[in-house]
Amino acid sequence: METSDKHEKIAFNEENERRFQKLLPHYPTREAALIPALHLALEQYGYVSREVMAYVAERLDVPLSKVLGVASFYTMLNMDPVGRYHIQVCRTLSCALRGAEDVVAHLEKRLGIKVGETTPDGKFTLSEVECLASCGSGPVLQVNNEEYEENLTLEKIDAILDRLQ
Amino acid sequence: MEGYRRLKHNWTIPRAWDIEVYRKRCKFGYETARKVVTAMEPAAVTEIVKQAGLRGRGGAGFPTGVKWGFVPKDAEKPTYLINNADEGEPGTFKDRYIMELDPHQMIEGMIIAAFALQAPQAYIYIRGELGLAARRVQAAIDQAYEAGFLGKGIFGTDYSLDMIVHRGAGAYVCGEETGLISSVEGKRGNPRLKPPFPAVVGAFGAPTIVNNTETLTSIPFILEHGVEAYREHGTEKSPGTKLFTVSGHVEKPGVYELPLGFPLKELLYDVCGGIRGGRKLKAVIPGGSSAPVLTAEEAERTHLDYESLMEVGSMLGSGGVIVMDDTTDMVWALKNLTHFYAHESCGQCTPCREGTRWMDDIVRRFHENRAAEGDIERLLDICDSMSGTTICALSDAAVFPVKSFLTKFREEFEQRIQRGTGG
Amino acid sequence: MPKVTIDGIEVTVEPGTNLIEAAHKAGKTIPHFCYHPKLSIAGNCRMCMVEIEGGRRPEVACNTMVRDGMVVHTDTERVRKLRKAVLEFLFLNHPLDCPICDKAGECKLQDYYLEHGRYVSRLEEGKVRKPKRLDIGKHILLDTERCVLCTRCVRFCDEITGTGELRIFERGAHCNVGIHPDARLDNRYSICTTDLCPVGALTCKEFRFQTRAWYLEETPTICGECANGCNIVAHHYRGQVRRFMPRRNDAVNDTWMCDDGRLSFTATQEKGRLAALRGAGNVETQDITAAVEQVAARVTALRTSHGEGAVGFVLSPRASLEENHLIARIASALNCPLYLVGGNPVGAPEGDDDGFLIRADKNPNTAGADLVARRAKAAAPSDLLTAMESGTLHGLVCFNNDVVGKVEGAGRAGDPFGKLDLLVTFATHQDATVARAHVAIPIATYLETDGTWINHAARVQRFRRVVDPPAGVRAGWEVLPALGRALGVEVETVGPAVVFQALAGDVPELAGLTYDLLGHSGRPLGGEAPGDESGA
Repeated sequence: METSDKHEKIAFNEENERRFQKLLPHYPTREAALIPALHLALEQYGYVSREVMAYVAERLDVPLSKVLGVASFYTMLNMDPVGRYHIQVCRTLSCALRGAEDVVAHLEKRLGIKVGETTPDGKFTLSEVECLASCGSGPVLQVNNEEYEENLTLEKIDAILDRLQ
Repeated sequence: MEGYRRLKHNWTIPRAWDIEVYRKRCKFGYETARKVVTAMEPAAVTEIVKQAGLRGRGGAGFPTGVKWGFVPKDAEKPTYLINNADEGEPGTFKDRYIMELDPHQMIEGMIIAAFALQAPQAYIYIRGELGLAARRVQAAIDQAYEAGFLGKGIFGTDYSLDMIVHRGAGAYVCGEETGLISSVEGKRGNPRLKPPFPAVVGAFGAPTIVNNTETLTSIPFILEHGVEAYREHGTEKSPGTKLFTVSGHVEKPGVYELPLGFPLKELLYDVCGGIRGGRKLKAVIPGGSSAPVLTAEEAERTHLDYESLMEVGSMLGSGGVIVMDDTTDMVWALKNLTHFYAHESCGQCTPCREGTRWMDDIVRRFHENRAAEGDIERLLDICDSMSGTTICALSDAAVFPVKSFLTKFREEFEQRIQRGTGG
Repeated sequence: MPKVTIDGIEVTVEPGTNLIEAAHKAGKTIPHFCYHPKLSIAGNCRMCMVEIEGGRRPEVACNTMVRDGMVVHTDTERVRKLRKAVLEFLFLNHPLDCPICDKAGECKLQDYYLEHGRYVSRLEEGKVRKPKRLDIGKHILLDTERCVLCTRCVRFCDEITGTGELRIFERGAHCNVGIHPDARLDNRYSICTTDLCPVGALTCKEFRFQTRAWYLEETPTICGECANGCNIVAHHYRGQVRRFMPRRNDAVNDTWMCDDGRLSFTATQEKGRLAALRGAGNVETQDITAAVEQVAARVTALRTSHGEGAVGFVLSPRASLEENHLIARIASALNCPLYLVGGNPVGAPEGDDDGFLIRADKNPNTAGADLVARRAKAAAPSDLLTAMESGTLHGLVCFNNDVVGKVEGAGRAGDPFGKLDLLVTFATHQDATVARAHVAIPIATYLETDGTWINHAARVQRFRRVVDPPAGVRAGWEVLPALGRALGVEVETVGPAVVFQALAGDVPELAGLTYDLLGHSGRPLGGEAPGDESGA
């Protein structure tokens, strides 16, 4: 688990504070807002660092161990820093049947890293994820939490990388 | 398919996710919800859904109206309605499109369901990866609030309904209703012991009904057109239409609305244009990866309804049809799935936690030609110890592919043993 | 009341009873890891599965409540196969640490393997390695490889202490029990997690590598560190107490005890122990009898010179009911003033009461001493101070009571104790009174004798002799009658049971109670029908 390398104090920015306040009244307990709050922090900081967890724990009055227990359970709540573009390729059966392994191999070649690694310039992290619910348009990848890139071909992948560079 | 206009009908109308478009040009335009909430009794709504025979579309196929009836009449705490939009079953992608293309019909269905349950609070649990769907749905909810269809005193009545999107964060096990409830409470998504059942003690200790997205989206049609119209398609025990998601080695993968009971052969060869590249069919998983695999011969003679698929040794499940042609290495395919279940097991129960990983390790050895005599029997024995012995059905879901692949494609596994032992 | 048949044995139980408890009532033990009667039901180990007639498949006994007419089978072939399977799954990645694991000999994995396992390992793949020997708290070491993820420890910290230090992290087979890196497992009941842990994942640092479990003998007794009187088991080997563990008593401490009490036996046994006679008798040969006679002679001399009331006796909230009774009898027979000096020594932490099991009063028998004091009309500490300051009191006999240590400013020059011609103390440990006393006679601790105490909730409980006192050192119930006789009081040396009998005959609140009736779980003062079970 990493600590953030910025020395700024961790806190929701104005927009996220507004969204945080907006969602609280919809839950009967503060603890229930934990994952939504972690999502806001994830968007803002790119990953869920130790400081982020301590901040959210304090805002929601939830024990620190519980926040860590939750963050370590869910795949999306990365506790290690990721590159600016987190490229997540679906590896599950339907996509694999349509060439997901080739997609991964191509990305590894073009980015010069293996699955699970980040490029030295901190721009790209490459991950394999499980079924993204896009099986009919596979193979598929997702950059951060944006719209899926579907019906991938090697050319499309190159175009995506070029766009992101 | 032209004839079936209950679930997909708004998908071809541009910007149907905009409430203005939905109200002017789409079924049901919130008029059905209005009629139900202003003029019907909650119990009557449940009765209609019961009569219509709608069954849960997430995978379990439990009769929806019956489930609603499990909420105790004298419950002390108010009921929660939760829309299970955690679509994670491999091969399934229908709920995602409902949310992206037609969120208002889903919301309208939820309003009717919540009204039947007299639930003041509803959550839509959308898996975290579906960022676009979550944004579209929340925007649609905001529009519904503005129009007075959500919030205090909806449609001018004294029934109030609060609704919010609650995003998941990447865990297949949260598609299990009690795992989902744990997650909504802000905890690790661990499924819970039953009893108590969620309808009695669910989220925050209150009665909770968890319904799949497609199930809820099916509601407006039933209330608008009635039981007979709903039962016009489908079979006696599996009435209505369903969204089938076809993927893998077909020419035209995608989402198709079909009546239950539709012949699987027709789906593959007519609707989906046959096997890609004109190749031969080898195997089909008919209901999401947790359903036992069918051989080509079995697939071509069965029908897409709950009963028929059970008869042929599989299940309708989520209706996620995964098609494999004759280029498919079944050992490789199984390894793909065992990895999935090992990754997604929550880790609570001994058999599932240890069994999913053990099976993944053994199947990987098969794929790497390092399997030995007795490994098939070992896998089958592990399957036996994992079946019906856990808190939730993920363990059984992990077992079905292993058992069915080993049974129906055993030669491929035996070949790997021979390769491994130099035979 | 629902009736259930378990392996052919019919039992009637309270509604809401689960099958593990029902089976227990029928004399059957259903194996389990995660179930604990004082914690919420987790149902994750899957070891307790049984077959129920009419059911589709085996169910977990822990979460199945009895329904009238239920017929349960705990030993069918399917059940046996399932148990083997669960054990096989648990052993898959369990390190074979038995030779170096403290839990060996009292480990559920070991016990169940011998009873329900006995299969040959089929594991080809290597075992997964996880962090071991993690220092997670003042008293606790964690070995995550050994953990079977039963979550008992997690639930304990959530539900009993409310401190929530322990948690499961990660998912699936990567799951680990652990603690947040910035936190420590430091609540005051932390060592209870090592009782709960069915394997050697959580172990107590103080017990680490000390004694093998199978060497330990056990004696049920009571902890003497505060007024709560937690029921405990004292484990001993070769005449030394090696460990305390809590013993179940639903009326007192459930299945818990605090860390301070648990670790107190070292201090009780050894540290600062008053090892030797001082100031009277044959100090070289440690002849206690001679010492007692000398003390009696000096007391008699003072009374002869200055009057009957020249020497006082002090009751003690640490001493047993029996000992206090003997002291009161002697004082009354001799018309000597009797005082009760209770409370904690000066300088002890104030108000250390946590609303759970830890009481501010660090004496195990304040209520008992009060009871005797009321009946004997004992005087208060202020009266004692006045009597000493005014010079009317020339001698004071203390018993198992750090009287000097309880008086503010005592121990300094010019304090009232300085005016005494004779300060005698019968003591277990070095304390301020021993330091001032003219005569200090060692006596047995509560680990070395029998007796009864009354706890803060008016419950009468027996503590029992666990080990022998050091050579030559005697118990209060031997030494006090000897003193009495030497002072001319007719009192026999009889065992504590008989003394208690006599006391019970005298004191209405104790009427009807005997050592037998008190048994292992005690009785409330004023009597009550048994029913507050101590469980087994």
